[in-house]
Order: sequence, then structure tokens, then C-alpha cells
Amino acid sequence: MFTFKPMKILIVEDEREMAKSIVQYLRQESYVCEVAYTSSDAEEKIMLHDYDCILLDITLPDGNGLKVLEKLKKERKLEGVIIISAKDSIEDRIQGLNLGADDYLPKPFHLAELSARVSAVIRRKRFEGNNTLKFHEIEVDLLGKSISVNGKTIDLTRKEYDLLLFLMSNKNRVVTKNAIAEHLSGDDAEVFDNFDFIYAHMKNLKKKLSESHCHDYIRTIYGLGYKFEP
Amino acid sequence: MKLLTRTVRNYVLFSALLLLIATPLFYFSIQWLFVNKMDGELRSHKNEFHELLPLLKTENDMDFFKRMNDEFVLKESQYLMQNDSFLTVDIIGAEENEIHPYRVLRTGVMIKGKPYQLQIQESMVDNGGLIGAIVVIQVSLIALLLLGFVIINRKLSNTIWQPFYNILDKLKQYQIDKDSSISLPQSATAEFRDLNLVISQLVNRNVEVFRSQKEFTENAAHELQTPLAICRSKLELLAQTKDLTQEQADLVGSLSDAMDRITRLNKDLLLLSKIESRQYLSLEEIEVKTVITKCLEVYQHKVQEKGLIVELSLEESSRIKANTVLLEVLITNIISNAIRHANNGGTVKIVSSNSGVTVSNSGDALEHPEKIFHRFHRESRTTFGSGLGLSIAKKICEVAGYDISYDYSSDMHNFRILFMAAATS
Repeated sequence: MFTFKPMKILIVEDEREMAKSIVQYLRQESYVCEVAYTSSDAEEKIMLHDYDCILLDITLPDGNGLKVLEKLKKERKLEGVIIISAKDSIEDRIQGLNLGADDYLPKPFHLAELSARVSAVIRRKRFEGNNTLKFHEIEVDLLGKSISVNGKTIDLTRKEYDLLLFLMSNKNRVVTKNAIAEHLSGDDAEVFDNFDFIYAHMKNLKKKLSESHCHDYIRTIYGLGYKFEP
Repeated sequence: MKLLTRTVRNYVLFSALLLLIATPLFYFSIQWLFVNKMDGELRSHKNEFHELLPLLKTENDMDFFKRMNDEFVLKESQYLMQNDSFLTVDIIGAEENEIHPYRVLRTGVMIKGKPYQLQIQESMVDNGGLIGAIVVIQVSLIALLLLGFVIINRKLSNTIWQPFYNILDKLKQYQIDKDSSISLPQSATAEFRDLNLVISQLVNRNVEVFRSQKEFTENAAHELQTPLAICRSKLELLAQTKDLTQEQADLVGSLSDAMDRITRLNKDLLLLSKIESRQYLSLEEIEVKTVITKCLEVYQHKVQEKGLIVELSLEESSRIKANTVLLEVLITNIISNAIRHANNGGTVKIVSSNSGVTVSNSGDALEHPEKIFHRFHRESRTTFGSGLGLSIAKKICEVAGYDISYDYSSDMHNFRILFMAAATS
């Protein structure tokens, strides 16, 4: 379907431990990750290489990350930028998106969430026109937001669809119930004191998948979360 | 009591007391002086009479004298009075039926070997009138003097204290969270200049402390974001480690839960300080109903899980001008609070209109309803909230000029938000 070329990701983040975590997590998705700790470092790397996705922290020691964004815009290399910021101010969010960033993720985020956003950005960028995501017998129609197993569409609620896509974006990794709760509830929603609703959604999803003779890829890790593994 | 009233009151009290004591004292002393003078006159009349006595030789002379001087009354007496006596008596006038006070001197004389009582009398009517007039004039003079004194003092005090009242007005209007500095009226008086200076310094110091405290909360919450993010990411990586035992998985799970709580708490603190520093100012036309239905969608699973009955009475097309973020957070916090604290199988009621929103939920009465909007106040520790939701709601109402109140009636907790206050201002 397409040539297998590893995705290249640039992580612009001055906090070394944070950068290390991101790299470690994304590598499992077989992305090639490079790190820039300063904005000048980032600008240099941008000039030399093409990246599929750039994770940009906008509070950098040698200047505002938004300047890097402006530079990218000038160079017409502005594709697949996700701003990761500890500032979470509306102005930054609007300014960043206006400058052409694809997404904005306030710190502290779940790595699973970041990974899902990265794959969404890459899908948009790389597979233009091809809005399906395939995994063995499961096929996800990203535009129609529907899922079919063995070519037969199964009837999922919006939450169940979100849940499955989230797990698939983090396959082979344990996704904590906390990350799922935040992903399903949205940014500003207050998460309630238990995760019962996740269990309920998960139960329904698993039931619907098995009814369509889908292999059970979702493994439960008690007390911690779930893992989507082939 | 006003300072001015206090000083004037003292003056008036003193004056009244003075007037009360001085008037009778004055009256009696004048009278005493008059009576003294009259007694002297009567005594000289007596001497005159003794000088005249040798001249009155016949009965005819005596009658003539009596007729000429009606102030002398002679009566035969059994014995001779040795001492003179002065007294005041009322005597009925000869022609008019009037009683007049007279000053009388009674003494004894021997006329041709016979003892007589001589009474010399003088009317006091004229003198009495004079005393009255003098007293009235004197008293009204004193009264006028005091009145003038009070009025002048009052006027003077008013002008003297004017700068003080001006300063007081400025201080009353001053709000530390809105105004950065205070502009006090200039004064030529040294005391008020000093007061101005001291107040300005005090205000500036307080503003500095207030600002640094505000900044501290915001900075602290902000600085925590990065280590929190690192912690969270490391926990997720820990969850990925191979051959994770169930025991370890449980530990990582519990740590993740605690991490979530810290993150939420920090997020709320940051939001609170951002609202306080008025970072959400832009206004848009927002439909209240949309915000409420959107919020209910998010909490649908919780509503189902708790078996809550949601009663809605949302006015169509009720739009208000508000900041989107603030209104959403406000409504989300109030509704999620109601859902969180409603008893299982209970009711949540939401009524909205142009003028405001009321969110009610069934449940037992609170122990400390007065503390409901306090930061970190929780009636029970079993809930998972940050304890900041309602204080954020209150802060938003403060900033946006809404009115928020809580009451408990017929087993329902009611939170009422009134938008009207903002619309009129």
C-alpha cells in the first residue's frame, strides 16, 4: 500500500527528562525521534531535515517556541506541529493554531494521549486521501468514524469508537485507565471519582467485537488499564 | 457618633449646665442686691422720721404728716419694739384690688410717752420688673453667645475636617484586587499630608504583597506543571515495563490515581489564579442552553450510573454576553457538583433563563452551609474532587459580576446564579 519508511519526529523540549520520556514512549511505535533542547537547535534541525511531526514546547530557555513556528511557516515546512505547553493560556493556544500548528496539548499530558495525537497528525499528513486505518481484520474509517470487522460495519457508540481508536493508537502499550478517562471526558471535564464508566464502555466494546468474530486484542491489566496487542 | 457631634455635644452640654446654674444664681444675687438697697433706703426713711418727730407737736401736724407720707404707718402698741425688723409682705392696694409686694421696716417709737409701732413700707413692683428685665437680657445674651459659638465651631470643623472625609471616601472606594494604586486628594494641612503619605505607603505595600502572593500561587502552580508532567510520563513508562506483576500494576495504578488528583488540583489552582488576575476578559454572545446540554452530555454516564432523574427547564434562545471559558467552567462546576453530591436515585433540577441559572440536587442538609464556597472545604473526604470547584464558581461570578447564592429547602440544595447584576452594570 505504501513504502515503509519510518516516521521522523522532532521533539523540541528543554526539559531533558520529559524529552527522554517522550522519546522512549514513541520509539515503541517505531518512530525515529530526534530531540532539540533549545530553539536555535530546533531551527537548525528544521533547516536540515524534514520531519513528519514536530512536538514543540513553546517555553524554551532561549526564546519563545512560537518563533520557531513562525520560522517553519516561512520555510513552508509547517506540517504536523503539535504544541506542548505548560502555559495552557487561551492566547497561546489561539496564536499557535493561527500560526498553523495542528494541535495543542497542555502539560501535564498522558503519553498515550500524545501518541494518539501524533498518529492522528501523521495519518492526516502521510495518507492524504486514505482515511482508513487497518489492523488485521479491523478497519477504521476515520472520516465516517465507523469501524468494520471482516468488512462488516459494527454499530459502536461514539465513546466506544473513541476508546478503540485510542487503544489502537497505542498498540502494544499499556494504556492507563486515567489516560482513557481523560481522553474520553475531554480536556476540561472534571473526572469523577471512579472509572466505572470506562469498564462499562469497555465491556460493551468487547462484546460487540466478539459478536463480529473479532479476535480479542484488548487485554485487561487489573488495577492499571488496558493493552491492545496482536 | 461623628467627631464633630462629639465636640459640639460637649460644648452644648456645658452651656446648658452653665445656663441652668447661672440663671437662678444671677436672679437671686440681683434680687439680694435690690433688697439690700431698699433696706438701706427704709433705714434712712426711719432716720428722717426721727429727725421730723420733734417737729410734729400737735395732733394736726401728725395727721398732716400721715397724709403727706403714706409710706409711714403708725399704730399704737402695748410695748415698745426694741429691734428693727425687715420683711417682705403682700399688701392690698387701696384703690385697685391688686396685691403688691412691699418691703417693710417695722420699728418702735415713743411719741409723747406712748409706745407706737412704726411701719415704713415701699413697693417692690418697679424693682421686680427691673430685675426680670435684667435677667432676661443677660440670659439671652449668654444664650446667643453660646449659639454663635456652636455654629461657628461647627462650620469651622466642617471645613477643617473636609480633607479627612475626602480621604475616607477614597479609602472606601478602594479595592485591592481591582485598583493598583490610590489617588488621595491634596491637602495643605500638615496632618492630612502626613495621613496621605502614610496611607499611600500602606496601600503600596499591601498591593505589593497582594501581587506577589497572587503571582506566587500562579508561579507555583505553573512551576509544578513540568515535574508533574515528568512524573506522569515516567509512571506511564513504568506501566510499559516487561513482566509487570499484578502487585506492581496495582501500585502503578494507585500512583496514577494520586497523580491525577495532584494534576487536577494544580490545574484548578492555576485556573483560580488566572481568573483572579482577570485573564479571561473577551465577551461573546453565548446561548446558555447549549452550554448546559453540552455539559450534561459529558456527565451522562455518571447520571445513569447513579440513577439520577434530571429535570430540565431551559428557556429557548436565552443568550447572554459572557466569556466562553468562564461561563463553561462555571456551569460545568455547578452541574458536576450537583451530580456528584446528589444521592443515588435522586433528582437534579436545572432551570435556566436569560436572567440566571438555578441548579438543584436532592440530598441531606450540610453541616456547614456557610463554608460551602470556601477553598478546600469538603463535607466528606470520600469524594474525589479538588475542593476548589465551588470556589472557582464563586470567583467567576465575582469577576463577571454575577450573583451566586446557596440555600437548602425541602431536601434540595439550590445554587442560584443571577446574570442580571452584570447586565445592568
